[in-house]
Amino acid sequence: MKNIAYLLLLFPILFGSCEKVIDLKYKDNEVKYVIEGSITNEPGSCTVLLSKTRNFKDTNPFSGLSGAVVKIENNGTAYTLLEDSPGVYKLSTLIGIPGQTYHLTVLVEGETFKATSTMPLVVPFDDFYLKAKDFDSLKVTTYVKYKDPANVTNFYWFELFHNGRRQRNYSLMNDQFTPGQEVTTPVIFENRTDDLSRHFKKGDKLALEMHSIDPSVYLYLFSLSAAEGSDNGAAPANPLSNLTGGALGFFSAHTTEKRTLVIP
Amino acid sequence: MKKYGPKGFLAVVALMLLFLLLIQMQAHAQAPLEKRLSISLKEEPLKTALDKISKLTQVKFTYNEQVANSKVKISVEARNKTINQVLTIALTGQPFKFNALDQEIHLQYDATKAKKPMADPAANPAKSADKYSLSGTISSSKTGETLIAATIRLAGTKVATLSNEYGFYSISLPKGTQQIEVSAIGFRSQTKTIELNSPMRLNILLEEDANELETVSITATSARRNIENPQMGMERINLTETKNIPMVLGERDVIKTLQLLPGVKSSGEGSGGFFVRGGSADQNMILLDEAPVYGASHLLGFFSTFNSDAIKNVTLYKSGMPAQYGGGLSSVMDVKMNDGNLQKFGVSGGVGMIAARLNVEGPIQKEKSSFLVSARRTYLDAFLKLSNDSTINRSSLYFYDINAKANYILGEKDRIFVSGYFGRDVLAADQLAGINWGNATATVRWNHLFNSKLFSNTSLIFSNYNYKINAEEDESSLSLFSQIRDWNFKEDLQWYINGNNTLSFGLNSIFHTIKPGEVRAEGNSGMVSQDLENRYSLENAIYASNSWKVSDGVSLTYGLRLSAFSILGKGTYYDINTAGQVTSETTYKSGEVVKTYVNLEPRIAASFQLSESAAIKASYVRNAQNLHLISNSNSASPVDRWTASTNIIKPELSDQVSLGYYKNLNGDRYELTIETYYKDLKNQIDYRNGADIYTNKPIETQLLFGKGRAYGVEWLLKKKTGKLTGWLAYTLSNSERQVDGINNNDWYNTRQDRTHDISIVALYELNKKWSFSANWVFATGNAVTFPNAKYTLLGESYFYYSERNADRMPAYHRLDVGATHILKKRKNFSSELSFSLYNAYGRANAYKIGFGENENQPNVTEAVKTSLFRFVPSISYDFKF
Repeated sequence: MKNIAYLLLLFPILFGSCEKVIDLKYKDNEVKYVIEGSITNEPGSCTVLLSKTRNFKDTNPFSGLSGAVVKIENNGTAYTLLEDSPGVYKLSTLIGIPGQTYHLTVLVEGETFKATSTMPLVVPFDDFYLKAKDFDSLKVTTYVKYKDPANVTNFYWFELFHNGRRQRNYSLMNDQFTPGQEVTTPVIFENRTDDLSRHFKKGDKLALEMHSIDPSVYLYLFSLSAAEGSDNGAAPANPLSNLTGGALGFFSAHTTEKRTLVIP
Repeated sequence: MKKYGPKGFLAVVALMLLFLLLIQMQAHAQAPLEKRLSISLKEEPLKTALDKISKLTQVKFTYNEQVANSKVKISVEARNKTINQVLTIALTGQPFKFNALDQEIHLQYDATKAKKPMADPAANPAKSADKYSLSGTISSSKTGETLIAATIRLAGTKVATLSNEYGFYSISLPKGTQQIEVSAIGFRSQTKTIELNSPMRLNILLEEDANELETVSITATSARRNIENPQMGMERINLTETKNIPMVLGERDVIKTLQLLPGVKSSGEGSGGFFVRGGSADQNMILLDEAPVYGASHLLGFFSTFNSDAIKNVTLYKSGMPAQYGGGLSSVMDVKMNDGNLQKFGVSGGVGMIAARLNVEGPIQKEKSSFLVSARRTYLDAFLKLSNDSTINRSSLYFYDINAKANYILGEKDRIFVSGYFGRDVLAADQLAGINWGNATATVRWNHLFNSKLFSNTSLIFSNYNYKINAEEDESSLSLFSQIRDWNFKEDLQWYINGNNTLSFGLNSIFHTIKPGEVRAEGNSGMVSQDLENRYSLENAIYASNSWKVSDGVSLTYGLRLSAFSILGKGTYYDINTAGQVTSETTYKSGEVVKTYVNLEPRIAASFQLSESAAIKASYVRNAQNLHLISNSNSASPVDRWTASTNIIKPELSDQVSLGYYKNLNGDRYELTIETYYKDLKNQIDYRNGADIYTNKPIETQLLFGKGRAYGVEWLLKKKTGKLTGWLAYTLSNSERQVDGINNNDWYNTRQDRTHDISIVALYELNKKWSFSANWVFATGNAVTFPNAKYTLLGESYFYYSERNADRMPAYHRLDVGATHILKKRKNFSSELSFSLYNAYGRANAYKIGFGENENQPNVTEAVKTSLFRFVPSISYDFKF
């Protein structure tokens, strides 16, 4: 489907579209809390990031929120995460177990936010490969291979890394059209910026992290990828979070497996 | 609540301007008649007399042949009298009237002053009961094409009727010698004297008004707008009338012409999609020779599927839809194809910037049967091949369409029409991924005259729309196919009961088959081929509507349409909770009725004539719609999903009331229309937030339902005759929606909401060789959602949105200019060149405003405006022989 979207762009380009940075008046900012929490089956991965929304014209990067109480509870045991740096809460000793359910509670500035996520069972990441002809300095089409387990609904999240740098776009899969099948599907690395240093070259390292995620996280990431609306007028909307209490962001307990390749 | 301050202010300004314009026109109009002269005429033929007056005063007269050839002789003695006085004296007792027309004086035959060949029927009530019907077909003398909405009037009276969509008319007239006037837009009016002593059949041929009379300048022959008819909210477009309006890339397009009328809005820059009175694009029922057209655009909405060469007439109903139409909430766009020249064989065609057209038509048997074939194809893809870039030169991008029609006159009472349309768009990149889509329709119609008062049309219609997406990888391939197909039977009858009542009644039955998706996969992708269940439904309707002339000044149309939509098995239907999860399912056997929705749709319209030239009309109409386009985009996308009503998706309903004021000004040269409306909409459909369009789950799980409202005022001032024609349209409107689960359950602006919308269209005929045109449009920017804040997630910036569609794009405005140069105009061959410049002052209108990070400073967020189509010149060549 992505190819089609690409194709649809062709038409306006043929008739010479032009782009210009413009100044708009923005309405007052309503401040919201933002939580990005994850626990995986890898050691040292349990992290919760806490911040606030910023003004549109703000130029600061991530500005963490200190002084929160962040807890993750599993099977009646609550673990408190420690503040590693402002807004970054970690507990390296807490390692997730597939099939277990985790409850996140964040107490900050008198507000309470909660979320629950269940780590799905591991689905092995069988292969990650690239064919020489699918390489281009702007676009690299790689393939991933995995076997979808039968009789359960599965959701997958692939995070993309180029020379260790996480890419903005990610790839989501579900098994609606591939139940219980051996799946080979393309994952596309693309540089849509004008930044030449982010072009793909021979010898570059490409990596994928494959995560099995629960339905609520899939819905969040799916709606996040569509949040900005589309060129043809679909209205933007905030992603559907699994957090209660009005915070933005999500909490995910997921498995993780990383594979790497070098562009030949 | 929103502030209406600025809106109100602008409305007042607009009204004031309008009135100033009217006053100006009136003041202007007085001038020629006020000129003074001294003259002495004795038994001079009318034309000579007028020439003499003209010579003395330098005031020109405008009249047609009937006046020029008049045997009437006039005498007058005047000393320093105004032309007005001179003419009043000279024409006393003569069947002529006159009025000022710009700087000229327009003289026309006036049947009311003609000596009545019979005693006034009103004076002799016993005789007036003796009425006979006069019926027949009105067509063009040159081509034999039947004329839609031509007027037949008993000379000098209000007794009149209009020809129907097949050119047929029937009127009851008093017995004896009668004079009738026949007129149609673009044709010369005719006056005929008939001897009516029994029901009579009279086929009338009208001559095209080519503006080439030997007399001074031009004549005002256009049919006077019929303001007695209660029909409101209707626009009828005559293709020749609007052919010179400049269009993007010079491709004539009837939908884009409609977009220049009040209450009709373009769905986007250069787009062939349109919104009527705040409704969405799928709420327009588009009919091509009675067949519904589901995907009415080519090339992602940039061009409409209608090839102007093949089209005779387009009628758009914005409100007060006649009871024979149903299924579209916002409007009915009824497109009628040409029938094909009955008189002689002809070829016409043209080459534009992106497409070439060819139209062939002619008699099969002269005056008995004819055919028409009209085809069009873009040739842009030829240029793609020239590109050095392999992704471009291996791409396909084209569309073509073919209209074909044949008709047979089987004697006085029967006529058969067979017509079809086939169109396809193909878009493919690198031979790997592609999409193609298109419509096919076929209609067989049979006109039958039971007697001179009962006209019947029986139609059997097939309509099909489908699309296919292909994606090829090295070791796998995937395709998705989707289709909507209709079989449709229609019987429409018109019974001209008597002079005061015309009854329309009929029935309609449509069987819909919707194939939501067939997925075919091969290779190692792991995709499993599967079919989403077909959906079957049967849509039945019966209707009856009577047009009743209550009294001289009051007419009433009242009717009722009863529609029943039955969802049929086989198939599985679901129950879904508020969170969009399936709670239970029921499987139905083939032919089993899942559910039937019955809707009563009243249609009422009334007109009250205030004077000869002014009327007030009011109407109420209810519409039900059972086929819904589930779309989240502005522009028509070929993959938008059509779905029928189900146990969960209820029929969309709209109730619309409207009130209008109609005035013919300045000797019928100007038409003023002011209409207001309020529409209440129920069971409106929107995607849930985070909906997945490509899902194999029941579509209902991705949807939410709500209500809508739309209201507005539309002003339209049209000038239909003279060297300068055109119109000025202004719409002030609002369209909102409320859906639980969207925008915190508050009302929000729909994307079709546009507060102000202005269009000015001017067509100027300089001489026989050159004509010029220009149009200017202005519209409030689209309602859009801009971010209010940003946040960091997964190491990237994302945006936070609060209210849906609470922001506005910058205002849109644009000027297009065009010129047509007639190269040759002979009897056997004519050709012309058209030039146009779209967006003549290069306004960078916002097509899209996107938000992103600055390339160099990743933490600075900026808004980027994308604009399309600045200064698009085009040239096209048209020929006809």
